[in-house]
Amino acid sequence: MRRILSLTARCVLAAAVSIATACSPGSELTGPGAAGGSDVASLMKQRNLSEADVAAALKTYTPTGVHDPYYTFASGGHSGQVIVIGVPSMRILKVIAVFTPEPWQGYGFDDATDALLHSGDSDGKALRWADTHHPALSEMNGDYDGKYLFINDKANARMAVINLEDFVTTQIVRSGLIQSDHGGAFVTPNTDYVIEATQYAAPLGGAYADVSEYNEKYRGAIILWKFDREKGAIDRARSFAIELPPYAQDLADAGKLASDGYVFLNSFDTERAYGDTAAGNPPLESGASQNDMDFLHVIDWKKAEQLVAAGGKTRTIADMRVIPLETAAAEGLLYLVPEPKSPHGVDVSPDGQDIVVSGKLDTHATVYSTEKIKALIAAKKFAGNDDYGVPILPYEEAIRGQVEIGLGPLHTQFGPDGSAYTSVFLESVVAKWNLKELKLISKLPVHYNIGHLTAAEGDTVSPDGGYLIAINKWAIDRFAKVGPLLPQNLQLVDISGQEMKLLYDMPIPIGEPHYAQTIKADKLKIIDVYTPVGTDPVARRVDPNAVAAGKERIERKDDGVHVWMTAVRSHFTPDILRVKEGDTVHLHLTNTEQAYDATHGFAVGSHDINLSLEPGEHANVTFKADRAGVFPMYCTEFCSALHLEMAGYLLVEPRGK
Amino acid sequence: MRVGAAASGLVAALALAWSGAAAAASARPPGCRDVPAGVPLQALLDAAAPGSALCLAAGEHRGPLVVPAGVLLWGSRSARVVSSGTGSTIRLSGAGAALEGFTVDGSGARFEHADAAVRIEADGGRVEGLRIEHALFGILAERVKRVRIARNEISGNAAKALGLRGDAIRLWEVRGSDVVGNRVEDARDVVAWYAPGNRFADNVIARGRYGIHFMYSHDCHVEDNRFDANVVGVFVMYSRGVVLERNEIQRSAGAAGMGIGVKEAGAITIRDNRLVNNTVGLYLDTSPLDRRDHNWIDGNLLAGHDRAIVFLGGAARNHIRANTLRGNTLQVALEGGGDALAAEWRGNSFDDYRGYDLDGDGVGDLPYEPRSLAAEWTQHAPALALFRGTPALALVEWLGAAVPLFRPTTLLIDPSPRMRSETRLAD
Repeated sequence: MRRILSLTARCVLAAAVSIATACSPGSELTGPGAAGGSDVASLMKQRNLSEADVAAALKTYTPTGVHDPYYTFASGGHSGQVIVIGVPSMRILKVIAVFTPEPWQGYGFDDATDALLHSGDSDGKALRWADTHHPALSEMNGDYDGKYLFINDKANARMAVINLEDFVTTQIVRSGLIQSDHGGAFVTPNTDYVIEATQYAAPLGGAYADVSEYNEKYRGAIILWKFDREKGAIDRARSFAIELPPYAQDLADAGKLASDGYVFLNSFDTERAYGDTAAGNPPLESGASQNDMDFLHVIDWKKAEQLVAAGGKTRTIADMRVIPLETAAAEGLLYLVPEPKSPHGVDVSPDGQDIVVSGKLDTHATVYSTEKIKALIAAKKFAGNDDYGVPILPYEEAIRGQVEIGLGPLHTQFGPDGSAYTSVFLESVVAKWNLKELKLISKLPVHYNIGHLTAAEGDTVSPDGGYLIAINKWAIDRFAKVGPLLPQNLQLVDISGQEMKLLYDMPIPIGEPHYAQTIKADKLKIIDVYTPVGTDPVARRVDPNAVAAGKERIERKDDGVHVWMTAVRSHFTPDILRVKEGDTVHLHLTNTEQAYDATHGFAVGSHDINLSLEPGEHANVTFKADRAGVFPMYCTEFCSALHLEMAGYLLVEPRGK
Repeated sequence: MRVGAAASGLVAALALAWSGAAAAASARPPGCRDVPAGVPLQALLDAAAPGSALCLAAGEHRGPLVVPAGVLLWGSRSARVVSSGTGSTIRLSGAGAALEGFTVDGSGARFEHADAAVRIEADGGRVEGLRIEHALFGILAERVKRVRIARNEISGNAAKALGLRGDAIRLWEVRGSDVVGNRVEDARDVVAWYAPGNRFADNVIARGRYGIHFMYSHDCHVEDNRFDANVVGVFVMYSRGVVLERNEIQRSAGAAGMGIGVKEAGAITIRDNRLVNNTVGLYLDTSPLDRRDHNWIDGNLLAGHDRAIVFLGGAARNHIRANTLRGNTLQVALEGGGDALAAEWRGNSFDDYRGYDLDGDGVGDLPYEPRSLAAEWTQHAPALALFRGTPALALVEWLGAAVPLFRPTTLLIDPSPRMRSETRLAD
């Protein structure tokens, strides 16, 4: 403020002496020496920028060749992808193909990624989209380790594993136990388990029951997918689930440090309303708003793990070992604590002592105490049981306090200095507050209707501070118009100082970026090329059909024609493929290069064949040459000056010749 | 925060009026059956015919009670129906069941069960003139029509943090009902959710969180209520056709403090209300949302606010006419920048209007046209707001006008500002 006032004083003085003197907030940035044709001042004038605008620009502008200190991994919403964003430049660095085909990356076009995509199919029904929600970076001791990323698909209850060596999806799992999810992906502090909990209750395992049997037959569940760090893959056989009441479980977070061993999971329809307005019921939104409280689920996953290991107490549903609800209640694996008005976020503090729950229709965030919850459980001090026999802990004795945040608090992230940052949906602000004192510090308007937010490493045991991104559901007037379907608005906020400052608006026109996590860039160990040559990125080993230079060949076998081919700037070998109409063609293609950024594409017209071959990568593709003719094949990446010449022909000779 | 002298005077007047709002006792119904204290009441209630009445003698009557259809339970204030310590204390289970006059003392304490003093569970229920104390929730009405909640006095637990109190009155899926003449103190919220077509009039609601919170509650009327020292006076969210008239809303303080908040709501009428000394007077968030809707904001007094009117997400299709803005630190603010030119501003009275009225017709000869320069600077550096009205910032604003380098943009234009307030403020 003092700076602005002194500036004001100088401007006033300058104006008094000579109206013509260039005087604007910009002169503070360039100094008096720049007055003669000061570029910054005149640029500010031209573009009508304030000093704060220029400061924001200087904090985000990243010159050519300079790398961002953070990566943000945002869900790509309906696209079924993950968007990788550099922070603070807010440049999109990559779109990781996960649940849906991605042509540029050849994802879903070669045999391995096609099989990967279909591994998440629903009973043989191919799924063409996903509702990706919550990316979760792998952790060691509660800190991001930069090795893996997980993301859920709410619509189809799928979970994916992404390897962060090369930003490639390597696994998709679907249990069949539940029909939708929301409480995922979240990881336990050493990534022993990846959590996936139901959103909308349904009979477990895909069975049928009329919705009028909701209370009796519909159930939620929390799946603990066992993650095998060595293999970089979820181990289905060692995974298990816990049956839950039909309460529309929502977000989850794993306990850490003080609360390690627990998962906290909230819910929003403990009324068990299911709509059916034709039958005279209130719509679900109203029915689910009848009661004042819902239930925070406190789940002792370490105890559950022991119970599963001991054997004998689980049922197998849809090939998943499930701890029945009555067992979970009887064995002390599951407790409920009331939580206020349609809760949404549940976020464990860096030290694991506090669990912050926010209600969409509340004005407070409620801070539960790990210590108090543990003491109540130890003393078996319950307020009663729910209809399913699950013990309910007394609300007021489980909380440390509440903080008045504003209208409609949702999600909380943390800073390194004991600050908490909560998105406030109804007010469209980010609220900064002091976790220890439960005191609001300040609010920053964001645009508009903020959902999740991500602070740098803001949900780990050691938050980094610096930057925060508000993930806003609506953009309204923030960008040039593009018709009725608007982009989402990711707003970068500087949280390095006492006051939060808005730095940058980034439109995201790719699905709904629902949640994101932000990690220090130097934690990632990223490969430049696939070594050794012939690596299959999904299997993460040299493919049995990898082709070395000089070993290219075409062989006719019982199952069709096999082509072992290489790609190198700027030719395919072999470059003419002669097959017969009706042949099944097995194409084995290796990019034998080890030059950084020397990617080749491989396309055959009219056959839906489109591969991306990064340096050292191998891909197989199988197709039927069912139409006689001449089909050009060519490289789809501008790989060299002679890229256009990197072409050949697939010659399909008519049958009967 | 500077408060205009006029606004201070108004607060004093409100405080005086406040103390006069005491509920009158209900008259004893003719032909009712006397029930001495200590008699098992539920058996009598179960046996009572529709249209009959039971009159509670002074003293303690034990709950919980279920009142069947058409039965009236009456008592004087010294008749107390006392909670057993668990659950809700009195349930109106049959159509037209009614309670009048007595005191309900307590309820269970379980939020997850919404333990209440009174639950109205059937159409046409009436709860009138009760005194409700020591209860978690006051009066809950769920999935009912044509109920009447009138002249009750409901006190929450002032010793508890706001968020740990229950709601005084809560309507869920309620239609065609009246909530009138109640006096609510130290509770959490009064709530109307999925409750269209209800009337809230002549209530006094003080020291709570949401004075009244409307969600998906269309066509409700909110008239002649007084709201004092709540976090939010009236919040209208996702609702159309709500009318707020002649309410007095003051001292909605704190970070989230606002007199009236309107969130994604349209066809809202806000007329002749007095909003005084709230952090924000009127907050319009993306309202009206639907392009076909307009909001009508007429004849209100907005005095003594940090920010009198705040827009988020544009101002279009709001008609802001004949309001009086006095002693506000900022008259109009836009969160996220921009201007409020898209709203219709007409005939408002602004105390920082610097024009003149040479023809003496009561309307300023120059438009009221504040520039955003100071507003923008104060948005970037809120502390600067302290200097509003001082020569330093006036000079900046003058410079903004004189030297185009500053490029101030026009915030709003009222082409016909009134010279004097001419509202009830002058009464």
